[in-house]
Amino acid sequence: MKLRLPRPTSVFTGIVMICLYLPIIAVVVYSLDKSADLIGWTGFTTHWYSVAFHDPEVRRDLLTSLEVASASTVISLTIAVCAGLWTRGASPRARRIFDGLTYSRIVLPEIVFALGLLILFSKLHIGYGVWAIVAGHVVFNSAYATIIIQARLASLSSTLEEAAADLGANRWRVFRRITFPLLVPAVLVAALLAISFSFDDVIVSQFLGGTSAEPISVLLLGMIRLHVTPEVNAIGTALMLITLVSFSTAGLITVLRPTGAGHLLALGRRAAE
Amino acid sequence: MSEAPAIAGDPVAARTASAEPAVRLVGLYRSYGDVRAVDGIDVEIADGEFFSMIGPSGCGKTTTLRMIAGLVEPSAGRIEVHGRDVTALRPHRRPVNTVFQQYALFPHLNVFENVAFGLRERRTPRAELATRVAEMLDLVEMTGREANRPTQLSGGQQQRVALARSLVLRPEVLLLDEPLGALDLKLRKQLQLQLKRIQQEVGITFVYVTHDQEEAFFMSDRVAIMRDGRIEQLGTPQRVYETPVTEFVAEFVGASNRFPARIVDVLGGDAYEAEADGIGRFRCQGVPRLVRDQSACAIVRPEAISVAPVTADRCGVTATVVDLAYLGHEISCLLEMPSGDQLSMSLRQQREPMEVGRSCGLSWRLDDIWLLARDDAGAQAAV
Repeated sequence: MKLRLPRPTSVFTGIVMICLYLPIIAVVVYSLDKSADLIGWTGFTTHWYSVAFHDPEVRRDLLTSLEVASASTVISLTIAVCAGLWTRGASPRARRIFDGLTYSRIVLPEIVFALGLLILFSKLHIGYGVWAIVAGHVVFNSAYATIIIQARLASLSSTLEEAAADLGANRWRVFRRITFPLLVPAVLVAALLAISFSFDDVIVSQFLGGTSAEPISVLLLGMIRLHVTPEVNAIGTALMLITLVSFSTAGLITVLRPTGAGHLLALGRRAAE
Repeated sequence: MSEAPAIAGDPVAARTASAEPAVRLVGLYRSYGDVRAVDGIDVEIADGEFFSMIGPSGCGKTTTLRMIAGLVEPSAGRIEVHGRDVTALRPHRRPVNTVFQQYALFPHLNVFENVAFGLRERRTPRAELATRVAEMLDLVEMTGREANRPTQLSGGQQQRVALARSLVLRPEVLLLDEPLGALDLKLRKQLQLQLKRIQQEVGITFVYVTHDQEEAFFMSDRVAIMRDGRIEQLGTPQRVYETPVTEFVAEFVGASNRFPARIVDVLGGDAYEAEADGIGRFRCQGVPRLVRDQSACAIVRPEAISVAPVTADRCGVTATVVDLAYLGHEISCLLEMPSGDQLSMSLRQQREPMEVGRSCGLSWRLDDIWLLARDDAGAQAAV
């Protein structure tokens, strides 16, 4: 049997993947390593996870992160749904302007608008803290959410809403009974995305946190500067897992919408008929 | 089979009050920029009638239907349902319901919830709601499928659920927008029969839009042939087929042989004496108000022609067979006259041996000739 050499592109891809994932794997591995020196493997332990879990700073900051994530997600989703519904009926020109505003919030470097908000809040004498961070997160989370909701709305046939109106539902009832239920998968996906982005965010959180609010991402940044203990690895791994689970759930929902597993079962049954 | 639900109409008073037409459209217009989708419609649809609007794509039939439903706002004109002006009412307030071409069943609700949707909007008490839904599912022969989702149903089944969903609300008028368009031929025929049966049982006025002339003829009491936003002719299928008012209508409702003819004499009572190349002079009926020496068009349907000698009440030509097509239920023959024009004849059975190249003496009854004003553009538009 002739041994075939791998293609150059495969080799290159392999090298890139290793370079990308090696640091991440290292974090996970060393979070489970007994020794505090990041030299060699000395044995398996969950000690560092326990240290992190009992660390009062970590607990307080995790709570802060959760508060910020939930608040910014709820506000962003509300903005996104309203925006999505409005752009459907807007004139092409208005739509273009609005889309520009949406995409600019994604494209603009975070440090730019973090700095802008810092100055703005200072001028308006608005205090820094949890709600300032929430405001900062809403800036980009609402943009991502808007795009997701707009995409889902575009795929919904307007005939469904016409049928609902024809059958006696006024505009609010049409939204409540037809539009929103069909939007729920997109809303869930947008929510999971927003929560992940909120958790991971460092720049806005640092600029606008002030002295009172410190999300866990900022705490990690601080801990790394002092000394890289395995506790940091443990927290990092835990955060990665949260993000991973969120994204996977979002992915599953995208595949299984709109009626969930029943949809796949139905397709299978019909194929069999 | 369930008993038909009580006479439709909500409020009932509207129906029993007077002989008001179910729908009256007065001076209905709808433009989109410079385009006039609906260009002046005046029509009265009788109570309990099965009324169809047919015509080529873009003739305005769907726009008209959607204006009755309230989904499109008229640019001008008035819409009345049983005498009540509904023009300003939003769709959810109108006593009419629509069955859509793509069924528009709600994918996140099962069959029961789909059919119950309108009743829930009206806050119908649970017991009554369950009874009415069951009754309607029985009418459309979908009992036992309450728990299914729309994606689990076939096209024909989905259409029946859509029908039940609208009928359960006992609308004063039911609007149907090409509901059978997405189905195959066999299923279409089955559903046409069912629709006709249901309409007769329930007694609701049906306003039906389709591009399929045969479908409309099969089910309707009256049809309106539309073109460029206007009604070209309105009448029973028989009247429209046998006495079309324009070449467009004649071509749209069926194949026809058209002979250019000249009016020789006006005999009164819509009877004329005319002359056509290759056929000679003949007397026949036609549209009113044709005048002497007018350039007209005589139409004869392919099924009216047969291989038979010319007699006193018949006229005909000799022609040569150019093409034969066996369609199953009929044989379609294409023949060429000495003048070079072509004739189409359809035979039920092959009584005589027909073959390409054979010369035949053809004839048809004078009664089967119909005279129209010439309108080549109209004839082309209908094809």
